[in-house]
Amino acid sequence: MSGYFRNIGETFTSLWDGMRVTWGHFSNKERLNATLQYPHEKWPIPERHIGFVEKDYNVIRSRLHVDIDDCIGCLQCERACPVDCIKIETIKVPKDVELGSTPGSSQTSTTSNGTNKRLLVGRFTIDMAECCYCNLCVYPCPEECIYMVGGPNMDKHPIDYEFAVRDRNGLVYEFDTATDEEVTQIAQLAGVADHRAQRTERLEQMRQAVLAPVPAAEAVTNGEEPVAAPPVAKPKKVITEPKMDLAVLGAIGDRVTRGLAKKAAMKAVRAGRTSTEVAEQVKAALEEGGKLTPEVADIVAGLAKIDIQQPGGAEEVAVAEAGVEEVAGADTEAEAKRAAPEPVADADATPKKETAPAASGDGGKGKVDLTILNGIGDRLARGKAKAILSKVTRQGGTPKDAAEQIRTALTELGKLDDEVEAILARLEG
Amino acid sequence: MAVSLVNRFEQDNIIVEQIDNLLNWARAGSPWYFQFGLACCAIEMMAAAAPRYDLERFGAMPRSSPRQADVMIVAGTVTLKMATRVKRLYEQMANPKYVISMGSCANSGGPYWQYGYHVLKGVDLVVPVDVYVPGCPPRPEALMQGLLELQKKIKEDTPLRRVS
Amino acid sequence: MTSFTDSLIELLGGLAWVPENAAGIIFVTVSVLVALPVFLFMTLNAMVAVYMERKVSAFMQDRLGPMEVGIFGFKGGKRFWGGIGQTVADAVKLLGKEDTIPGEADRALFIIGPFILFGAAFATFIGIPIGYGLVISDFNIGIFFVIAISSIGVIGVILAGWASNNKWSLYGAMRSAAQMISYELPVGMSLLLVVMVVGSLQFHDIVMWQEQHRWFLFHSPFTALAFLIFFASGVAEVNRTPFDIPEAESELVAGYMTEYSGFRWSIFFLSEYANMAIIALMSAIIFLGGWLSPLGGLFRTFNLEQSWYFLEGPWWGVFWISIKAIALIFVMMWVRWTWPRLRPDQLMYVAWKVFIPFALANIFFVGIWELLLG
Repeated sequence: MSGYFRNIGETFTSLWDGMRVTWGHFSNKERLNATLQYPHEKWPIPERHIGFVEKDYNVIRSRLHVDIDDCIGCLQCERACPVDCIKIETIKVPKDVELGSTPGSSQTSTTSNGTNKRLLVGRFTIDMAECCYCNLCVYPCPEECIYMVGGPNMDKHPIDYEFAVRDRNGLVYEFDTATDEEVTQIAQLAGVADHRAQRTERLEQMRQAVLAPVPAAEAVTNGEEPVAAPPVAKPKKVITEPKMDLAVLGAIGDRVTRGLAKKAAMKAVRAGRTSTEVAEQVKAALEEGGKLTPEVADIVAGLAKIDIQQPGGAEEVAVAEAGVEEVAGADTEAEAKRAAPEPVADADATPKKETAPAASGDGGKGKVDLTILNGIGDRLARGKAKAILSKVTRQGGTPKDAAEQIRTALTELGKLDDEVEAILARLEG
Repeated sequence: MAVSLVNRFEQDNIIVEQIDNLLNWARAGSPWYFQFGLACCAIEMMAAAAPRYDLERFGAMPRSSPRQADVMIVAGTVTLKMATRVKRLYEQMANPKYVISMGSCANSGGPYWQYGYHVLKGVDLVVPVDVYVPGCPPRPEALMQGLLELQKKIKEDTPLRRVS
Repeated sequence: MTSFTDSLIELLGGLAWVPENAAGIIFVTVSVLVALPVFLFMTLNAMVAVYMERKVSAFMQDRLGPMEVGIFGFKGGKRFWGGIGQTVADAVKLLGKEDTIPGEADRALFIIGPFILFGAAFATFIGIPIGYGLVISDFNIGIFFVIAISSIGVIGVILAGWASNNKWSLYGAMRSAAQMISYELPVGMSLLLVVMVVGSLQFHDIVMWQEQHRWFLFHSPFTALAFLIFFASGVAEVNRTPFDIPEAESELVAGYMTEYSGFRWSIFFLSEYANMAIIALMSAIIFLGGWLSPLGGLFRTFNLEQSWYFLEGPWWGVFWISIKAIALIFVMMWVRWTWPRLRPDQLMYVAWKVFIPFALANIFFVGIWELLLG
């Protein structure tokens, strides 16, 4: 009971204490007000020390700026950037040519520190939307030409941290000042590819791809207008080795027995046996392990009735290739559509998409699928075989040579047996 | 009200222009923001709302329900899991609505743009963004400048007139 | 004294060109005409109270409130009055917002909910006087009427929460309903105390009694306690902090108001500030002497001449009651930005286990006080 009244008393005192505090703040509002009214008042530099004396380092977290006339194209800042937001393209100026000597050039031949410039910087873009403002690019620059503005660099460039834009491309800053003609000229003199011309060409290609008339769909099934993009057909999955559906073995209750049975069945199937032979082998393996009971024997006998699917034939392979080609075609188109609206940002990022290799079993196209050799049970043998096969393919050999070499190698190891022979036979065939 | 006015006035005239100015002034003067703080930029957004730099001076009151908010300040990394939610909440906002993308992660995926398998490379892939505020994280003043930029954009809008 | 309605009816009825059997039309016209000042008052109250709230909360948090939105030549910026156009901008913006109704929501109830809450607040203003005879309609059951009508607001809240088809809104609405009906009891009991002493439910009689004796706040410690209980329960009725679980931002997004946008939400907002004004006005009238000037009471106590009854008279009464109501609204805002929120179970504990026993004991002790010292 007294606790009840004490609670109430404490409530009142604590409530009153709180109210006094806020009243204090309210009545002292001129003195205690802490607001910096932003557009009318601004801090000139960061207002507190950040752990080291500012005059020893020139770091601050604001916008990046490059004095491009001082840049020697050493690419140290590009290498240092942890997020790869700096993209630089340089062309080495030939020995007898001086930078800035070509007519109409805006380049200087030396930096403000007196260093000779031997590389023409054709592209220097920094994407401030990707930058994480870490200053790691500022440290390695030998000419101190890349820096974040303001603060310790106030004399070089006033501070700027307010550069919000309405359009995402407005955040990609291009600092290079080399003209197109200059780049083409120097590239010609140096005998290297002209990346500006390449870029223009690639942009043109992308634009053409977007504007190109789309082929009408072949079979318009329900009489509607042809769809804009050709329907993408999923490539049919082609099997590379004989396969058997082992679901019947799931009826075996004991886990160990089931595992043994499945393993033996797989081994037999890969070696090219027929269904009855597979059943026999499984029975033999289970008897060896001492796990053959009458029920298990019945279940295993059911294996004899299941068909074994052989590796894929010619028609399936053709459909697969067509499907893969269509997929590849649609992908490049989609990528062109996506990349075209932003010519500034990603034009030079080479579309690294290669067409997926056709999932066919035979080595008829010169590129062999290593998954054929997955049937080899022993890990060591499998690894060796795959290594030999890829080496031979790289050197341009035929699968027959590869098979021969694999045979020799595995015989040395003592791992050549019937199943491996069967697989190698398929490889040659 | 707006629809019948547009139908009744065949040409843009001074009355419609004045109403436009009034609407724009009101919408720019009270940008209630939907606090969508996802990661570190949220701290800077809170700092902008704190007494030192006061966002409420511009009339920007924080609202927690998307239906009552005008501006969605997407502050922080948008993961793929969150992207569906961002889109859903954007759709729940009532027109006229605006989006400020704050920080590198919301602008373009930020430091995760290259290898981040879980990060949405820029919130403008799911919602239309009006202003991009760069920074990692942007200073509170930078966010306020972004808000001022949005106010400028709102004032250029023409809700009733036909000219763009 | 004649209330506004009575004087308007007399005025309209007395016009020469009005036909004889036009009583019905006169009645309807008068009803509409008296509703206008109430509506105007509610809107103005919301605008001023919202601006005041934002500025007061800002100053208590060491910052400046709205500063950049000026109006009609009062330019925004680093000035004292910068930001004075803020509520006008808010209102116009809310009017121009899209009206979203969730797809699965119960349309009719969703639309009606805010208007019931608004209607309850609106109707309550009818019985509250702001001066001698300055009342829309003078009820002889004044207090009873006000309490009864303001309870109708609970229905609006429940409808809003239910019709939103949003489980969090429903939680908020249920909690709000429980809170509102729980705190009706301490409110009623504190007022019962006052009615017991005065002997009448009419607002004018209560103020007359205070004119002849003294303000209820200073009358006895028990009536002072009654004032505290009434004020605290009134704050709980209005869903203001520390009792604002129904609209808590961190707990329930926005409680029963979550799915409302634009104009419908502004109706809720308006009703909340109108309810606040009602509680403040009622406390001022019942416990703080209403439209009586404190100075007049002072001089009257010393039996000075009539001409010394400084700053009294019907229109000065409006000034005094406004000052008192605004002070109480300021206290409500002061309290909001100081104290943390109560949990729902703590809320119920306070209502049923603290306020009601104290109010009951209070009635008993005031009875004794009046008997012995009456």
